[in-house]
Amino acid sequence: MKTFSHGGVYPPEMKHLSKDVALEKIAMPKTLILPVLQHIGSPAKSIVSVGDLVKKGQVLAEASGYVSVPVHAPTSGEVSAIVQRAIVSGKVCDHIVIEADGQEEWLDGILEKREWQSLDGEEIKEIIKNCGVVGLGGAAFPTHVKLSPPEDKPIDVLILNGVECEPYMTCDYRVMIDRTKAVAIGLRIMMKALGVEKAIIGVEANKPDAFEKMRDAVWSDSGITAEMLKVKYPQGAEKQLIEALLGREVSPGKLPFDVGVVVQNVGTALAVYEAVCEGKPLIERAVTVTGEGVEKPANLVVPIGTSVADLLLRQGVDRKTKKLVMGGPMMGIALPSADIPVVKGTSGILAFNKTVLHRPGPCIRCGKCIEVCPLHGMAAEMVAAIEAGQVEKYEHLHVLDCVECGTCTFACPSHRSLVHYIKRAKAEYMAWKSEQSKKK
Amino acid sequence: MPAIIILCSLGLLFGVGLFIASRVFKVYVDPRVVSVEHVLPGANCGACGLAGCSSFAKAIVHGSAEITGCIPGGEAVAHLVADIMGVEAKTVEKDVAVMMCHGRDVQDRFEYDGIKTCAAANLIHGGPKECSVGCIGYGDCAAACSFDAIHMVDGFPVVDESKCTACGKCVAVCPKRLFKTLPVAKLVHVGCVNCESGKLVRRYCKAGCIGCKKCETSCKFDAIHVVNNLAVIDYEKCVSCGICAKECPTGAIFSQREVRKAAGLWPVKKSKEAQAQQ
Repeated sequence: MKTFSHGGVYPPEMKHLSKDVALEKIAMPKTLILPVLQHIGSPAKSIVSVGDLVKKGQVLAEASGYVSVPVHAPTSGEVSAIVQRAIVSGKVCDHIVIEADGQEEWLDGILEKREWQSLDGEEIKEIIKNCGVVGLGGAAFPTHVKLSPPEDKPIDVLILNGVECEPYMTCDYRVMIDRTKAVAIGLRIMMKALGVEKAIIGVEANKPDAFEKMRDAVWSDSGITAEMLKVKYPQGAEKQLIEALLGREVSPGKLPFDVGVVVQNVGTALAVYEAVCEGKPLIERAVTVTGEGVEKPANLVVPIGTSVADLLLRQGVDRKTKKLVMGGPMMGIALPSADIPVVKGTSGILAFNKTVLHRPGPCIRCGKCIEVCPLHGMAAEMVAAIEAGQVEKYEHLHVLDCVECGTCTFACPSHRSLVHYIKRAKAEYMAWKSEQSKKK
Repeated sequence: MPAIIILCSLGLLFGVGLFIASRVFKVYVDPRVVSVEHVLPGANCGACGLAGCSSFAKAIVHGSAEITGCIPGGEAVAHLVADIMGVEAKTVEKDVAVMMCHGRDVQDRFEYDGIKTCAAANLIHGGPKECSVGCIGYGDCAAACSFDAIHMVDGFPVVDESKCTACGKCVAVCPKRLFKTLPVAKLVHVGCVNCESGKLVRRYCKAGCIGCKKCETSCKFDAIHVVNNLAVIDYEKCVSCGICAKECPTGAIFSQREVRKAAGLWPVKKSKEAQAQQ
C-alpha cells in the first residue's frame, strides 16, 4: 500500500467511538451565531442589520474580494444582534446572531434543481462561490479559488481526500458511507470545473468499507480510481497525500497547482453537490462529537452557527469533562468555553475527561521531531531560533512552510509545545517582513 | 649579536612598510563622526531607527538624520551634538511610554498551559484573560525593554518613567498594542482600550471604561469624548488639568501628575532655561 515517504507518526486512532453512528440531522437550535470570517481570506461584509427578518439561505454577509465567500442564514428568523468577538484564532470580527423562528422558511427560488452536465466550468465556479463553499477539511480555503488554477499551470489530476487521518474524527468517513452518490457527483462536478479527466480518491486502510463504497460508486467512470493508503499521520495533509498517491513532491513555498494537482476534501465534494445540483448554500456540515467525555458519541449534520454547548448537551457530556477541543486532537484548538459556534471549518468537537498535562522540559536535542516531520523540517532548530528571537533565520529554516500538523509536538519526549512556538513565529515573521519592506 | 641586528633591521623594515601603507591606503574619516559618536550614549538601542550609535553618528554628519534623533540621549545629547555640528539645537520634548490598560483584577477565562509569552498566548483565543483587548501579563514588554524601565509587579507591567527613553520597543512588542509613547507634559490618560458596552466591561473589569460620559461633560476644554463606548483624549486640546480623572467612576482615566512630580520629571523645564544653562 502507498504512503508518504518521510516521517509521520501513529497516534491511537480512537475512531471506534463514533464510526458506527450514522449521520443524523439535528433539530434547529434557537440561537445561531455566525462569524463573518469563517474562511481563509478577507472577512465577508455584513449586509444585514439588527432587527432584520431573514429567510433560510439568505445572504447575511457578502464576499469582500476574490479570496472571500458569503455567509448565509442557516434558518429563517430575526437578526437579534451583531457583536464583535474573537474567533478561535484570536482575530476579532463581526458575529451575526440569529434567533430562529422555527418556520425553516427558504428564500424564494433558491432551491433550484440543476442538471450539472449542462453547466460549463465558469458557471459551476460561480455557483460554488455564491453558495459560500469552502474546503471542509479544516482549513476552510474558498473552493472556487482552488478550482481556478493559474493559466500557466495545467492541472491533470484531482485528488479527493477521504483520508481523515486525525484520530477520533469520523465525519468524513460517515459522509463517504452515507452520502456516497452525492460525493461521487460532487467529485465529477469539480472535475468538470477544473477540466481534468483523471481523479483519484484516497482513503486510508482503516476505513475499508468507505473505500469499497467509493470505489463501487465510481467504477463506471474510467477516469476515476480509488486508492487505499497505509495508515499514517498526517496523510490527509495536501502535500503528503499528493506524494503518497502520485509520487510528486511539492517544493517549499509552492502549491499543489505547481505539480498539476488539486486536492479537495470529501465533505467539500458533498457541499459542491448540494450547491450545484440542489441550489443549497453551505449552511450545514457534518461534525463529529466524540471523546471520552461524551456519553453518546455521534456524527451530526449541524447548522453552521450552532453553539458547541448545544451539541454537547444533545449528546450528553460527562460532568468531569476537563477539556474541550475544536477540530481533531492533533491540530485542533482547546476551547475556553462551550459558548463558541460551529463554523464552516469545524470538523469535530472533542470532550476529554482526563487531561494529562505534561510540563514541558528543555530540548534534549534527540532529533525526534526532525525524524518525524513529514516536510523534512527541523523543529528543534526552528524553536531554538524562535526562543532566541532570530527572526532573520526563520526563512532559511522554513518556519513558514510548517503546516502545523502537530507531529513533532506529538513525538517530543520532552513535551515541548513546538507547534505553538512555530505559530507564534509565523506572526512574528510577518510583522518583521512588513517592517523590512517599509524600510526599503 | 647577529640576532639583535636581524630583529632590529626587520623591525625597521616593517615600520617603514607600515608607514608607507598608512599613507597610501589612508581612509578619510570625518573627525566630526568620531566626536559625535563619542558623545552618544553608546547603548546601540536602535531607537533612532538606525543600526547603532556609529551609523547614527554618520547619518548626522551626512545630514540624513536629525540632531535630536537620539531618543535615550534626549536634550543633553542633542545639545552636545549641536555643538559639534555647529548648529542650534531645537528643544527635545521628552516622551515616555504609557500603558493603556488598568485591568489588574481581570480574571482568567481558561487555564492556559502554553508558552508563557504574550505573543504566544495571544494566538489562543486572544489570550486567557476575560478581556480580549487588555493586558495578558506575561511580560513581553518587560523582556523587550533595554533600559530596565518596565517591571512586572503582580503580573502587570509598570513603567519606571525616569528610566524610560521612549525607544518604542514595548510599543512594537505588545500583541495588544497597549503602549503609547507620549510627551511627559501629557499627564492624563485613559487606561482602557475596550470598546464593549459598559455593562459587559463591568462584568469582568473593575477598572475599565464604561462609557458613562462623565469625563465628556466635566471637561472644560472639549478634549475628551466617548467614541464607541470608550473615552478618547484629544491630546492637542488636553491641558492635563485632571478633572476628568477625578470624575471617572471606575478610575479608568488616570493622572500621572503625582508620580511624575515625585520622579522629578514634571513640571517639565522650560526650554529657555535649558538654553541659559548652555
